Amino acid sequence: MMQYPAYIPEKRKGFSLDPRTKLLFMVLIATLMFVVYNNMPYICVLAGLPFLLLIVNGQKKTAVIYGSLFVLAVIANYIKDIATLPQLLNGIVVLLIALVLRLFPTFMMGYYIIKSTKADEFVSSMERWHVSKKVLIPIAVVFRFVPTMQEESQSITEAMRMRGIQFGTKKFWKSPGTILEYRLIPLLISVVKIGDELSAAALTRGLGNSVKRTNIAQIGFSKNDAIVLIISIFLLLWAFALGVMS
Amino acid sequence: MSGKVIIDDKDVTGQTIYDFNGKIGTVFQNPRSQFFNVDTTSEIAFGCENYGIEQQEILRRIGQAIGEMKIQNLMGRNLFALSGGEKQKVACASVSAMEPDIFILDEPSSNLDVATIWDLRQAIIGWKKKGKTILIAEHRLYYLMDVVDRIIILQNGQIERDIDAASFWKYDDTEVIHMGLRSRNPTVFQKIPSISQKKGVINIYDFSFAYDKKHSLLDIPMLSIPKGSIVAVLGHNGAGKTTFGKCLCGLLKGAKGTVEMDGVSYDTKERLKISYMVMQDVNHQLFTESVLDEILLSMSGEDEELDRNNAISILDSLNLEAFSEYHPMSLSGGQKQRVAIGSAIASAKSILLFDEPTSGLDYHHMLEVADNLQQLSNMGKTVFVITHDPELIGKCCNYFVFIENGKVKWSDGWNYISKQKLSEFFVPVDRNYEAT
Repeated sequence: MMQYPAYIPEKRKGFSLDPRTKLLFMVLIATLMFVVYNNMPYICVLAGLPFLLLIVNGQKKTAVIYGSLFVLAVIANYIKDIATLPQLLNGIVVLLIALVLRLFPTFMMGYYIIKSTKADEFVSSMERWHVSKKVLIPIAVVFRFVPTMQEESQSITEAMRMRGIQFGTKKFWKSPGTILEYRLIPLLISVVKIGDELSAAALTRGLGNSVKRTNIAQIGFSKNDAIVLIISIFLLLWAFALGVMS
Repeated sequence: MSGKVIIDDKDVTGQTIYDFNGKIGTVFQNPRSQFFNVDTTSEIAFGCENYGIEQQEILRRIGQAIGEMKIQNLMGRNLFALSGGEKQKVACASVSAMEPDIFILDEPSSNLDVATIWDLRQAIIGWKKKGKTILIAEHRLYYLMDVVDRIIILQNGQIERDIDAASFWKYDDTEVIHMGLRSRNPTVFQKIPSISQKKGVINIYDFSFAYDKKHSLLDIPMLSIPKGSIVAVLGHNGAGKTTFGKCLCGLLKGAKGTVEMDGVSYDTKERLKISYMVMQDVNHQLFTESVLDEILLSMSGEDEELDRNNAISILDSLNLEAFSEYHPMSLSGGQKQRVAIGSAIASAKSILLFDEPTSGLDYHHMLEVADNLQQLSNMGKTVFVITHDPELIGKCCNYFVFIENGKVKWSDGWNYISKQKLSEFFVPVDRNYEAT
């Protein structure tokens, strides 16, 4: 029998971070967003960080949409004091601006985490934080299940399109409720079936075993994590400085 | 369930799966539901990690497993972006990496192309040499010749025969077919099915599809298909067969190209109206609560009485009349497939596409599918079949399209040359395999 060389894991490309760094950084951004308010340059810097991370990770489209929305909100924030709007409209505008300015950076950071973290990296790093398996296994399942749902739902959509079961057709207006039924029932059936088969496959591969798990995920404190640490310290100092001044 | 399981003189009945401690590795039949990670590398490592094997050792085993299954090109990829056959290869590799004492393989070959089936054969021979026990549930037998030692034939939940392999290979062909088993030898394409009458052609122009600019998944400038033929769409795992099928049926948004039939040309969106794809997982396309409703759903609904009569005659022609009030989900796989075919007939589609309709089917059911395809062809429908099943091809296909890297490498009807090419594809003779 042929002997093959050991597998050499591919070096992680780009600006990779430890999942723990990402999580802590998200908590920091979320906290600073609410502690420091009314200082536009500071908020812009905070918002710029998830934007940069998304760009580096290759989610350019999302990053651009997010970036433009944020810029619009900043501009609107300046204009809203100049122009006077009807009360109700004004209320909505202020609310929207606040939403984009305050919450979007955190959301985008979360999106970045989901897009840039592999399930096994996440599980491995949480194990080092001694998070219980009871919490980790369900999270790992979610990582696997979301794309499965999307895939199944996609095939069902295709099947429906081939049969001409769509919104707006004659058949649809006859009984609008059935379209939901047609979509949900095959989805439920296949998801239940896949769930069963998946857990059988996971069990035979020893998931949930009492032996201490090892892993080949490449995690740990790297140069990139150090850069994020320096940025975080800088942000904190700046926030304190602002606090002292006000 | 009752009974006893004894491994190594120990009664293991009622033990939990962990007590086996990685002694048993299983490859399941459905490639979509047996991976637990999102990327290939962590998937192959997964089993080893769970049993706490040291990192260096895991990397060694991964290297060995990907070498055996020849999947170097699939490493570090997103599993959801792989084809069914590619997923199955990763599943075999990930079980192999656990290095269990006992391998259980449930129809491992059902989604694999012939070259990969031969790789699987090599892997099985390798495991056998290391003294592993291998249990394979399978319909396709030709790749197991000179590999297996013992053959157990099950029928209605009972052991029908339990014999050594040498005497099984001596059995008469008719006896094997009678038991519903698949061919023991690589298919020899002898009987040439009748070539369909010239009813015109379907022309395909400028099919192309790409997820991004760099990776073109489909690129077919021109392809002609005789109308009313049964076209086998062939190619290796991941060659772009399913992409071609989806594009043909107008299911791929962003795909380019037109289909010309009877002097009318159809763009992607218009093709949805003339074509229908019977999916590998037919559960996705059955929506209603009874078989009859399923057929009625595809009809116009303007004249209910007429529709009902038509629907019943369609069910008749597919031998489904007895099941018209049954819930589609309560039917067998083959019957479900026929219901899906019925709904396609009802909606008067003229191009039908089947995605691996015979994977995991025994000889009798395979013949049934071949009959259904033949019937559709007699009705004047053009049938495309994406398949890795040489026996099905030998039974009913009369035109061939061979796809490689998203391009049509060759396409032809039955003749001396195509027969030669098919035999070469299905019997990779030039590969130097080590003997047992």
